[in-house]
Amino acid sequence: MAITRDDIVALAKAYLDCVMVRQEPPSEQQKFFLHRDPPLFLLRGEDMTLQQNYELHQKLTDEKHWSVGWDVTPLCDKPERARAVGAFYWQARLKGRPETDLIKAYCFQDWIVQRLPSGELKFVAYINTGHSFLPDSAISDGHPTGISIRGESSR
Amino acid sequence: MAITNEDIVALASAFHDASMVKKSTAAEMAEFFLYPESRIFVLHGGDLTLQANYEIHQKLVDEIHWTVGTWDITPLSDHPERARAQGIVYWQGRHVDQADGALLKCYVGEDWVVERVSSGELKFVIYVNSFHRFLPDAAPIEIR
Repeated sequence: MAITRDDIVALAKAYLDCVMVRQEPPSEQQKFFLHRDPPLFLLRGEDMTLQQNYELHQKLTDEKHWSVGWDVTPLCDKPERARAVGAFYWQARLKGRPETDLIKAYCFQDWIVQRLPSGELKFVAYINTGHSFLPDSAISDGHPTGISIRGESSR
Repeated sequence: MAITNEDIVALASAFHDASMVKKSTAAEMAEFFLYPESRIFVLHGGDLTLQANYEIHQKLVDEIHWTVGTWDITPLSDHPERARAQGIVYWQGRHVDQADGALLKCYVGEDWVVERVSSGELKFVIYVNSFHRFLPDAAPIEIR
């Protein structure tokens, strides 16, 4: 069963709902990964553990996300793997900030995924290749509020 | 100090000397990586812990390696200083129990993200094998 773009959109939604919407702990995030204690690689530095990712999202509220587009390249059949390169839109607000003070960014991703015998897709490698903050985003790279995500643009 | 082709060739040589020639342990190989529990991601198959990599090379002798051509190096960031290095390594060896046997001969696609740490050393952040292309007369080996 080929790994399709729909599969990747579904995986992105499920994982990001876990991280951003339900703000679940590392043990729940771990279920989306093939290997134990996987780093979330941020290509330009500041790689994160699942715990650090959890702590980052604890500072945020009103988070939303949706896939923008994915290119899916099959890699092998046994195990069934594919590379998914794409982006999702991410919106959030730092807790305590005005409702209009929204963080808005495109998050670019390069994922290796594997289908298990159960049919589930798991992340083999999760690489965030960049963040591009929108011009009206409340924060950008290096913002002094404790949230630290490297972006391609600075304001 | 930009990360150069010479830096990457030196890193490739040092790491492959460690894994193939000196038969370094997993703990010794881990010194080349930014994170201690790193894996070698084999895109087309099972990923390797450093222990699994050690065990593969324990089965081989007469290993040699060299960089094929030049590496494509893409600077990623200054703080920390990171670059992506994509290139090819030729790898040759022989099964340890077949002293006069056929040689394993393979081109290995490498796709690395490396970081220069404060000491000046380069460390692997992400180590991906993007392909293994065995030559037609190569002895078989199971990588997974």
